[in-house]
Amino acid sequence: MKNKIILCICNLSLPLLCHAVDIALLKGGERRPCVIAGVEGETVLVETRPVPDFPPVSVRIPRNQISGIEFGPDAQRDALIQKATLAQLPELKLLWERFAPLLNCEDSPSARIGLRYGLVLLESDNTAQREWALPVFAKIAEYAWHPNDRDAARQGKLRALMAINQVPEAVAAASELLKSDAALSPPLAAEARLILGKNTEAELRQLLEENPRWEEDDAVRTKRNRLYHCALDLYLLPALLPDVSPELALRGLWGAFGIHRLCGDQALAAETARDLIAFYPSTTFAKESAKFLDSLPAELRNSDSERDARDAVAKPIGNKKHENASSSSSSQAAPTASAPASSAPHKRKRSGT
Amino acid sequence: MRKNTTVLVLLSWLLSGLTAFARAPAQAMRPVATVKAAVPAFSTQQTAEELIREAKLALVNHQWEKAAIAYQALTNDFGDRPEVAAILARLRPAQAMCLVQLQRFKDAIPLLDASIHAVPAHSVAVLQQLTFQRAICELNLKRFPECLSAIAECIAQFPSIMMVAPTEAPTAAFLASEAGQTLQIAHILNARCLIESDAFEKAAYQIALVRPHLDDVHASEATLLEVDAHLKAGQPDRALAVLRSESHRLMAVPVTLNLLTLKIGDALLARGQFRDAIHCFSRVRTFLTVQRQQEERIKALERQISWSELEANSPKEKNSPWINARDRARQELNAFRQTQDFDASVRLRLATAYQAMGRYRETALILEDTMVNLQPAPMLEQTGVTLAQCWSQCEEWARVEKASDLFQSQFPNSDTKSAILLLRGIAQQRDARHVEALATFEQVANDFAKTDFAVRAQFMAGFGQLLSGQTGDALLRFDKFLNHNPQHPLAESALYWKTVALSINKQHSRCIEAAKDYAARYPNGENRVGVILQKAHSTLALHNDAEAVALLRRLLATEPRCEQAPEAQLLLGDALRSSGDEENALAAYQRISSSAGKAFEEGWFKGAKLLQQLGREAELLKQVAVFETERPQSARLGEAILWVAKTSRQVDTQRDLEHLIWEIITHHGNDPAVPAVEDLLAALPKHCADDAKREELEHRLRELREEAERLHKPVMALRAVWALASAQQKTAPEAARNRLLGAAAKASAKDTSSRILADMASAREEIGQTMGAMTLWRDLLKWHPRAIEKDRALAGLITAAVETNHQETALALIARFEGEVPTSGLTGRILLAKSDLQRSSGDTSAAQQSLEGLLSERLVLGQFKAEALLRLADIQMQRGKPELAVPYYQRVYVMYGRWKGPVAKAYLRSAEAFEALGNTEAARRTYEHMLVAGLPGDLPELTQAGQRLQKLEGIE
Repeated sequence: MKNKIILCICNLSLPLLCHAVDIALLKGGERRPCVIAGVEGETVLVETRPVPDFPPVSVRIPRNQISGIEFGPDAQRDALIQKATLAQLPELKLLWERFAPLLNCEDSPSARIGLRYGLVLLESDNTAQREWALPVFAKIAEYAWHPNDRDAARQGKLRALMAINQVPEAVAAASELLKSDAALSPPLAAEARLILGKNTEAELRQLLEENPRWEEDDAVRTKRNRLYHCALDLYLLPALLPDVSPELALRGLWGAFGIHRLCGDQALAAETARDLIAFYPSTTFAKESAKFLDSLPAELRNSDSERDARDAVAKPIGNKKHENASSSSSSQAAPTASAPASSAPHKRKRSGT
Repeated sequence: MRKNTTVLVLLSWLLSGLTAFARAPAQAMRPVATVKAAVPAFSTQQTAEELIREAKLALVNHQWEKAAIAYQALTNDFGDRPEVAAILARLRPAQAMCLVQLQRFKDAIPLLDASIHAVPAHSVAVLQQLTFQRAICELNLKRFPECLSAIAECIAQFPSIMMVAPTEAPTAAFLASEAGQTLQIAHILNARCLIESDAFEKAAYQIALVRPHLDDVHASEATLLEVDAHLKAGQPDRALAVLRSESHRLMAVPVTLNLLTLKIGDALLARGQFRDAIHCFSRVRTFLTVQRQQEERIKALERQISWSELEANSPKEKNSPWINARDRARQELNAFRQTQDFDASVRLRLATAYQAMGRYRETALILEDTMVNLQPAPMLEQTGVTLAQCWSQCEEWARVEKASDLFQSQFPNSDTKSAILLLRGIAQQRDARHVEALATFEQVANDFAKTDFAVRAQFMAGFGQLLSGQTGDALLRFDKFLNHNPQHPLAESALYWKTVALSINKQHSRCIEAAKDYAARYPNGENRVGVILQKAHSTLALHNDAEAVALLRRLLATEPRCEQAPEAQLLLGDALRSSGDEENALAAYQRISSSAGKAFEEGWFKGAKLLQQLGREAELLKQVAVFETERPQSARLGEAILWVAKTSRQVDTQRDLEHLIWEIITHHGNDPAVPAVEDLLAALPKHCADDAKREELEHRLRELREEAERLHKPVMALRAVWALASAQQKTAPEAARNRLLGAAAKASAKDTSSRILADMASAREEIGQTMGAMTLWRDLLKWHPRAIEKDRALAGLITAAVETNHQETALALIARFEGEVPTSGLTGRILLAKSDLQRSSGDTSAAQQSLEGLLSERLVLGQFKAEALLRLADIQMQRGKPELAVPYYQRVYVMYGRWKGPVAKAYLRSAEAFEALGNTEAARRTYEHMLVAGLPGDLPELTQAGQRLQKLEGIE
């Protein structure tokens, strides 16, 4: 996009303020610039700077005098929220307690504070602390102003249930979410799928452990294939669909890698390992994937579908007619005397289409 | 608060300069070179001071036109006065600034040049700004070489901090200062200029050197430029590397970031760097998200403007950067909103990358989600076939159908509908749903009659009928296909399958004719070997042995390594035997490689039978050794040896065979993968003619066990114990059972055969070790899902579940039993248990249904049917309907008189039923019949019947 450059050209990504400016809308009509520091009881805590170059002063304004608040960005607070760890738990807790009453205000940072607080609680080794996260997420899910925040809180709830070992409840909640007609935000749908994927994987593991010769049992084979396909889909979808965070996509891809390894499909596991290394190179998952690739026999280690395919660069789907569909569709299935249909549904075919 | 760098710096300088002038009004004004401009002059009645004051005021109020006019008037009217010259020289920069603001770049340049080269020179700060503005002018005039020179000159004004390979990084204070801001913008301009001059690599290189030392704002801009330069230089992977490391900087420009990412992805896709392309496409947000993020950005900027207005004294000056940024963001958003099918196009690119790598599941998931969740777009119309093909590759047949349904609902008139339906039919066929597949193929053939898909559908329909056993119909289809489409690529396959169908249908003459037709038309056809085999089968079936032999010999000579060679050898042996050439037949059978599996085994048995017929038992023994060497793990090895043992007549053979058997047992005894060991061990007791032989066998088995334990061969030891228990089954059953119980404690389920596991489990059941038996039954099912003893295992688990009051588990197991082993001899017992469970849970209707089902099973023993009838009658009695119970009771002793126990019960209860009906006479007769029915005297029912009869007679 060519821009006519006149004078200052670096307007493209102007930072928004070097200090926080909220605006308290008083019932008298006054718009008072200030910094909202939270709510205590029936009063709103604000910092205001009556004399520009002097330090700010804290005042309390009764809530019933305020008709609204316009929140502005606060780099310091945002940095705390983004980078908070267990060490900052007391600060976060205090911040949450002060801002929770403002959850339903437009653009309020309350939801972000609460979400971060909840996630930090889940990192704790202390079970009681992890349990505290659930009511925090529940409150945000109910009262937050922005639907994305409410969805993020529901996502947090699912994680919290898993973290406190309420797995059946988490699975039930995830299942209900995915079945509902309501549109789910992509991260929430992804989180639900990952939980169900983990659950399905556990069922698959148990089935394989109890039925080591599952290929010989028709009923078990059917069930095994169903669980296999289901687990793969649940893990892969978060990694493939848009608007899902890298963290969720990574968990999905790692889960799919685990399924391939569990089911002995080394070729597909190798491909997924290469994906992990390519997409998330600086993670421990990439290191584990590299170790796995090194452990493979030379033939598998040295094969790479991307390199093989690079010779024939694909045309985008949707631009070409189905000129090969007829020959490919029936050559795929037209049997020959020497090539009967496969009887092992779990094996991946590599014939071109 | 950010400042408008250029204007304020010059303004402040100017104001300070004018203030200085005001303090020295008496200074002479020297004439200077003037720039005449076509601007209306101010009234010549205004003095120089008035003009200067006018200009200053206009400058402060940003009235550039007015200021420019004032300066020009000053120049025009007073420019030749020496006393004004010095003033003009000092005012020249401001004048130039006004022209720049008015975008009169050509006019501004001479003034800027004059100011830059003025003597005495201006301060460094002013020079920095002047050279900077010079560069701005050249850039706007698109004079890039001149612009680059001007920028270089500007950067040269910052001698201490160059920022290109600096010796020290600039401080944050410097970066925040006006000079720092100007320098950073200069570097940005430099890069932009290089890009405009098509020096992409140089631009990328220079900006990469500088970027780490810029502040956040300028670093973002620099990142965008660097990415753009790499893309234009044809280096998308470098662009991606920059994007990866610096994406956090670009979050504030969502539209730009996403479009750039897409562009990089496209470039990588074109180069075949599919994973990198996927990485890019995955980072592109959806249309709504990008739109929302951009709207939030605009909102934040507007908030900024609004807050600034609360504080600023001169809102325009302070807010112009935000206003510009907001306006630009709005423009970007409006342009972005015009994009059609953004989400679909991104997803299709992603799917393309995965498909290129043969990752069919990923491709299918993306396409499926796209079709389900996005509006049907024209570009998606072609994806239906791809989606169906990908699910076919994954062998997810149900999803192929679902894709077909989805596609048809979204694009009912698409010209790819025929392809999708054909794929649907193939999926149904692969899923063994032949009826549905046939209907789909017929739909394609009818609805798209003039297309190639219709022709292929005809072929597939015929093939499906062949698979489902409708050979006659299949033949008709293939004939029709060949008549109408003799040149079609599938004609060759059709002719081959026609020969197969004819052979199966025993139309041997026609099969031979069809095979000849094939050979004539397709001498090098893909299926020529299969066709020859079919021809040979039919030729042999028509007793043309010699011709069959010749045909097969020719085939094996020309195609010795073809896949069907073992089958051909087998058939050749049959043909030779049929023609009386037994030696060559034997040779043919013995040429079949052991790697051919079942063909080898079949050939072996046929050869063995021949040898037996010829009385060549010594040779037969050698063949047994061959079988043992070549295929020790075969399930038929034991069968083979025992067959030879059974059919051999010579003593030597028997002795040698016995020796061979023990060799096999010893050699393979510890290998759990050789089932023949147990076959042989189980058969040994049956060949013990007397007690001495049996004792000898037991002694030998004990020795075998001891040796196995000594040599740490647990599998062999267990087998020896089991064989010992089998040998003692009849003579010392308790000892036999104890042996099995002892072995069970030590056995490894994974390495123990189903037969032994079943016997050990039964031993535990016999002494009431229910839980122990359950463990073994479960192990049996776990390690031997196809075992013959599966029904015993399930029955054992059912019994255990019933005994431990786990009703639901028992019923689930019963359902499994009925589904997986329907022809088991234990069905009767299990169905009785099922009805008992149902009855105990109060569901007598279900119990009745189960019992009636049992009665209809042909293979169930009479004993169980008698029990079933008793229970059915009891149910009626329970319902208070003795009149309905009596016929059931009567059926027991009329039809199943062999089973004395149930018969006795039936008599007794039917008599009781008569009593309940008040029919004393019938009751008495029934008791009497019972007492003379020849039932065993110890049955308690007899005593009860006697007592009841006496009572009845006493009453009478």
